[in-house]
Amino acid sequence: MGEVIVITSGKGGVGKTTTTANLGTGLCLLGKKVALLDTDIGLRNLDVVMGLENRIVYDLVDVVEGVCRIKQALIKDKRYDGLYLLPAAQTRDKNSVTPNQMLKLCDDLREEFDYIIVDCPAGIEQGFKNAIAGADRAIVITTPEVSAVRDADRIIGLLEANEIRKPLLLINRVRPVMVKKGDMMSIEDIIDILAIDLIGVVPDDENIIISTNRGEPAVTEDKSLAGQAYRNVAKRIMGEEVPLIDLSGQDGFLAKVKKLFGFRSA
Amino acid sequence: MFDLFSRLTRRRTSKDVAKERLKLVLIHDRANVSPQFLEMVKGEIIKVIQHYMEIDEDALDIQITKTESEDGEGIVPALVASIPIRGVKNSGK
Amino acid sequence: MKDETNKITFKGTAEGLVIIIPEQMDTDLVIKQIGNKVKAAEKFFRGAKLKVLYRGKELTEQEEEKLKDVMVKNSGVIIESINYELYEPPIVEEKHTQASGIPFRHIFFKGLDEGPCKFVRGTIRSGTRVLYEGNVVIIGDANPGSEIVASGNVIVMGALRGMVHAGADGNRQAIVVALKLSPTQLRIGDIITRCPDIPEEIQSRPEMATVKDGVIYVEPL
Repeated sequence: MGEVIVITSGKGGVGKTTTTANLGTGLCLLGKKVALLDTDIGLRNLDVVMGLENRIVYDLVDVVEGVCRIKQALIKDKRYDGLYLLPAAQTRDKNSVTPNQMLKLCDDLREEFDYIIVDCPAGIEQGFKNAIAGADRAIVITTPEVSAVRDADRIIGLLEANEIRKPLLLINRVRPVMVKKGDMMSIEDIIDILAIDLIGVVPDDENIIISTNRGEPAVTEDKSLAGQAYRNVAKRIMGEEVPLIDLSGQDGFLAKVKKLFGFRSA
Repeated sequence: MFDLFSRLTRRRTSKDVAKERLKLVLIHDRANVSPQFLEMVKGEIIKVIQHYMEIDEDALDIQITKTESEDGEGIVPALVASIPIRGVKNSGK
Repeated sequence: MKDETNKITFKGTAEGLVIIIPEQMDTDLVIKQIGNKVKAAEKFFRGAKLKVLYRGKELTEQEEEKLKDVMVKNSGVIIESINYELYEPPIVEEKHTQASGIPFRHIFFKGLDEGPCKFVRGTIRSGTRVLYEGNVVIIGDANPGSEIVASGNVIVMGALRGMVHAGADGNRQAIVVALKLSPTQLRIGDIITRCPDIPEEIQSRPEMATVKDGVIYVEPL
């Protein structure tokens, strides 16, 4: 039986779709069979990030409406075996699907896949409710900005209210130089405020933009620091203990490492 | 006390401002009470405690958080106050 | 008798009678049921010469003989042979019967040369679908994420970058023309193509897509 993990954030533009693409690909690279589920109906993007936009025939709404079977709508990734995408409909809206239908869809996918990664739309309305309906676990994405952290807090509350216990936090777009100068909230600061367990820290990395342009997740690039961070998060999802990567390397502040590792004692 | 020391000596950076603002906003978000309301509570508490002890007003931290209820039946909001004591007044003895 | 695991099915084919026996069924029950079945249709079987093939559960030679005897005794049929047939269900090819919002039909839209036509002025943006029973002319661009679905031809007086489906009711005679033809996906009738993954040199001249021998071809006008 597979596990359904929803990637959510509340605020838009913090990297839900990028994270979904990278974690899904990362888990696939670790030998797992993975389905990526885009629930952002009407504003689909996961297909472009994965570079699969020109292969879409059927979408999620077609599946729940019974126009086609799940297998017909799942798009096989062009690079990796065992990686599939179920795209969102672009010409429909969030109300085309109900939480119950999503629950059933997730349960059906569970039979076939090890991991089902659900890309949640921004906001706390119908789309969010649909996305979390079938989820076992949740990863909350935030960036070190007041607006994103505040929205993450709201989302954590809503997840707990919906019986999704112990959501995990992924802090995206961290800029170690700014943190060092005190111009960006550090990992400890954010953990301190949100009080949930951390699953990873992803540095701000130009490679993400470049790889998104190409439609190839950065997780596959050895040199990309963000890619490495995502590889580590994938391992942690599978239960492996991996220390946080040394973000200070790129700025030459070795002292920073200590600070990063020390977050749990804080 | 160390925290207070570092706060006095270090320049207040923008991230500190961010963190502080966030904390205030989140108290409101989480418990649906306004920051002004908390300031009022804080003022009253200081007034009462000052009758008996000398406290560090600036380091006083009061917030509404969530905690496991005693009967274990879920999460309830709780008022948590951390009040550093400088000394106890004689009248309190 | 509704239980599929306990139901014997008879099928008449050009080669003879085909009996489908569920794999799990008890042999005595099989013989008894077949006996009852042929008895019920005694008039039909009497005197007929039959070759019998059976699928599903495989029987031993003795069991085959027993089955033959029962059938002959119960209906007076003449059995020429009785054989096991290994049967694999044919793989049903998945057909896209309604990929774009207009279901495939046996009789196509008739107005490809002359018939109803919808004109749309302006840019067709992502998330917008133009769905029309007839020909469609777009005076403007069709952006990625947009969908143009028509049972007739589609003409775009601009750049076509979204999904386009001409002859959406299954008609391969339909055509797609655009001043700049670079759709995310191009469908004509029941055929679906997409741009190659390695982008070719982008053509800036008008092109037309048609179907020849079941393949979509794109040629300059």
